[in-house]
Amino acid sequence: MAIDKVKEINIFLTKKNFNDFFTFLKLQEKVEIEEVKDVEGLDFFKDVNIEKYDKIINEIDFLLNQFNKFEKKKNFIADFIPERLNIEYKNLETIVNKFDFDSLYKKVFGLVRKNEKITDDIKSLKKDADKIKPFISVGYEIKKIDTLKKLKVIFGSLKKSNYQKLLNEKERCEPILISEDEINCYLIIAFLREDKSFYELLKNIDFNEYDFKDFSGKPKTIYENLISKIDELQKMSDDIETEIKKVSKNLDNLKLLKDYYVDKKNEEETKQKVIESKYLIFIKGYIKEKDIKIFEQKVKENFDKIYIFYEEPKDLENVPVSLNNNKFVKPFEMLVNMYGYPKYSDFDPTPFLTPFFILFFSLCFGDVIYGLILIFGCMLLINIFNVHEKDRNFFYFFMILGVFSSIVGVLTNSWAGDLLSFPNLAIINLLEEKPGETPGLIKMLIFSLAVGFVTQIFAILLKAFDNIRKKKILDAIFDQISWVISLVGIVLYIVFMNNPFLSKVFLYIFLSGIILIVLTGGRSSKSIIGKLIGGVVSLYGIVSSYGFSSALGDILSYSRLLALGFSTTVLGVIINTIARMFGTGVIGILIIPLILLAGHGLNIFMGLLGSFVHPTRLIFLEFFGRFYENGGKKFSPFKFKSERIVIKNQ
Amino acid sequence: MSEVYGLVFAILGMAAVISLSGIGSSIGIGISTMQTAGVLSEKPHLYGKLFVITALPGTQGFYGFIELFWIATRIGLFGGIPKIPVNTGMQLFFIGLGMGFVELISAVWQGKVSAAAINLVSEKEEESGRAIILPGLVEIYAVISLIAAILVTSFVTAGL
Repeated sequence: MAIDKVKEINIFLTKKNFNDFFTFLKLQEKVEIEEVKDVEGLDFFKDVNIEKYDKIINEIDFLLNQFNKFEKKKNFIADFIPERLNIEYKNLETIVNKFDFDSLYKKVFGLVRKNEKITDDIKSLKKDADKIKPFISVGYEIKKIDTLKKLKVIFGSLKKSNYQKLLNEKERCEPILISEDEINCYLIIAFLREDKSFYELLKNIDFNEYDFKDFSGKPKTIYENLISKIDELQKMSDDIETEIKKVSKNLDNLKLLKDYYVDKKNEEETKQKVIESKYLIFIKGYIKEKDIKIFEQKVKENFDKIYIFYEEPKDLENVPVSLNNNKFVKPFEMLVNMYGYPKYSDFDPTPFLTPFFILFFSLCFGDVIYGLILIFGCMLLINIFNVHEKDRNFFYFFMILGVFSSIVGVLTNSWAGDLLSFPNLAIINLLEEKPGETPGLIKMLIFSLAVGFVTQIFAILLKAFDNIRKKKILDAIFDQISWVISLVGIVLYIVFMNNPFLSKVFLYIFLSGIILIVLTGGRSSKSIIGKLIGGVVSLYGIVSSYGFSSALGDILSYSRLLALGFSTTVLGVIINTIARMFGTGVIGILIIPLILLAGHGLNIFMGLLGSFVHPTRLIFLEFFGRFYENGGKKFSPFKFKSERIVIKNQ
Repeated sequence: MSEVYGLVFAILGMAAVISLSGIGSSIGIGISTMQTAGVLSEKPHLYGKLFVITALPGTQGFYGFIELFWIATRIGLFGGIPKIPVNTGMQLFFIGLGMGFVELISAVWQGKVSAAAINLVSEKEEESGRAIILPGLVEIYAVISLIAAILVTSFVTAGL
C-alpha cells in the first residue's frame, strides 16, 4: 500500500574514507542514520568538534543581528511563504571558502564595540548638558562661584511644590531662582558654611544638589561645548553605522554561511551515532527499498572498499514511515502529518480520508465563485511569489478543494451567496421553500447526516479490513461487521418504514446484528455472567470503543456540515442585500463594488477557517477514532539540514 | 394590537441573539488577542501563524448575525412592517435568547482555549496545525445551537 517498504542498511568502511563518505551520504538524502544499539565493547565515533561550529554560528548570529536592520521588510503575505534557495553543494562550498569571514567579523565587531562606547559617551554628555542647561543664564565663571569664606554656594533642583518650604527658611539661606520648568525649579542657594544642619533640611525637602566640580567656564560656554561635542560624537556614530551598512551587503552570503555551518554542526552530531573501531567505521540506518538500486550504483561509482548489506527490519515499532501517494492525494498527507504518522505495520489512511475531507470541505465552503477565487488565488500566489516546488502541495491542497467547492456551489445554487442564481442547475436549493415540499434546509440536514452515516460505516469497515490484514478475522466479524449489520439494518428499517415487507427484512437484519454483538461483546470476560453482561453493555459503547451512543453522537456531529455551508451562503446573501440597498444610482455604482469586495473577502476568509477546522476535526475525531492509530515515526533521511536551502542533485 | 407586540418580541429576540453573541465574541477575541500580543513581543515572526488562531472566537458574532438575518427574512422585515402573532414573536424571542447564551459562553471559552493554543504555538512552532483544531472543539456547540436556532426559526415562522 502506500507506506514505502523500508530495509535496514548496514555499512562498513575504513576510517580513511569516512569524511568523504559521510558528506556523500548527506547529499544522497536516502539513508536515515540510526544510533547503533548493543555496542558492547565498541565505541561511538568520538572525533567530533561541535564547539567549533557553535562558536562560529554564534559569531555569524552576531553579525546577522547587526545587519538585520538594514534588510528590506517582507510584506504580510510573503511572510507566509517560506523562503527557499536552490544551490549546488559545490557552489555553496566555494562561496563559504571564498568568504573572508574572520576579517569581516573582526571589522564589524570592532565597529560595534566602538559605536557602543560612543553611544555611552553621548549618553553621559547629554546628562551633563541637561544638568547645566537650566543655569545658562548665570553669567559667572562656575569655579569662582563657591569661593567665599563664610558662605557655601550650591547648585541644584527642587520640586516646585517644595519651593515654598525652602522660602520658609529664609533666615538660614539665600535661594536664587535661576529657571524653572513644569516640575522643577533650578536654584542657587547660599548658606553659612558653619550651618551643618542645613543639609539635613535640604534632604528633607528632596533638594537635588548638582556637582559641577569637573566643569570650568561660564555655564553657557560649558553647555555649548557639550552640545558641539555631542554632535561630533553623533556624527562619528553615524559614520560607523554607514560603514556597517556598507558591509551589510554581505548579508545574503552570510546567511548561506550560517546555513552551511548549522548543517556542518548537524553532521558532526550525526557522526556520534556511528561506531568506530581502530580502523573501521560502522553505520546503521534505514533506506527505502526502491532507493537501494540507485544508491548502490552511486556508491560504486564514487568509492571502493565499502561493504554494505541489507536486512528486513526487525523492530517494527521503530521503523520510520514514509508515505507514498500519487499527485492528487499527496497534498492531503498534510492532515496525516498533523495527526501523527501511522506505524510501519499499519496502513496509510491518506487515500481513504482524501475523498471524505474533500466532500466535507466542499459542503462547508460550497460556493461557485468562492471556489473559483480559491483556485485562481492559489495559482496567482504560486506565480507571484515563485513558490518552491517543495511548498506547492499546500496550494494544490486548496486548489483541489476549490474545484469541488465550485461543483457543490453549482449543485446548491450558491454563487457568492445569491449574487448570481441558476436554480435549474441545483439539486438542493438551501434557501428555497415551496409549500408541500421539504425545505432545502431540511434536505441538506438529512444529506449531511447521510454523509455522516456513510463515513462511519466506511471507517468501521476500514477497521475490519485492518483486523483481517492482521489475521484477527474473528475480531473483525464480532466487533466491526456486527456493527455494520445492525447500523445499516436500523437505518434502512427507518427509511423503508412504510413498506411492510422490506421493513421486516431490515428489522431482522438489525436484530441479527444486535444478537451477534450481545453474544460476542463480552468474550474477553472469563465467567459466563461476565460475558453476558459485557455483551449487553457493549451495545452502549461503555466497555468497547463503539456503541449506539457514540454512533448516534458521531453521526449527529456531521450536522455541522449543514451549518457551515449555510452560514457561508447566508453571509454572502447578507452582503449582497446590503449592497443592493444602495440602488443603481451614482452612489450605488461607487459603493457597491467596495461593499462586495470587502464583504465577500471577509466571508471567504471566515469560510476557509471554518471549512478547514471543522472537517479536520470530523476526520480526526469521528473518522480516525474508528480505525486509526498513530505513533509512527516519520522517515527523515540524513541530508543537508536547512529550512531555506535546497541542495540540487548533481 | 397583539400583532404589534408580536413584532416587538421578534425584534427583542433578534437583539438578544446579536448582542449576546457579539459580547461573547468580543470577550473571546479579547482574551486571545492579549495572549497573541504577549507572544509577539518575544516572537514577532509568528504573526502569520497566530493570526488565524486569534481570530477563531470571532465566528460566534457572525453566527448571531446569521440568525438575526434569518429571523428578519422569515418574518419579512425587509418588505416593510410585518404583522406577527404575539405567540410567534415570543417563540422567536426565546430562540434568540437561548442561542445567544450558547454563543456568549462558547465564545468566551473558545477565547481561553485559543490563548492556550497560542501558547502551544509559541513554544512549538511546528504544532500550529494541531493547535488550530483545539479551539474548534469548543466551537461545535456554537455551530449546533446555530443549526437548532435556524431550524426552529424556520418551523415557527412556517405559517407566516
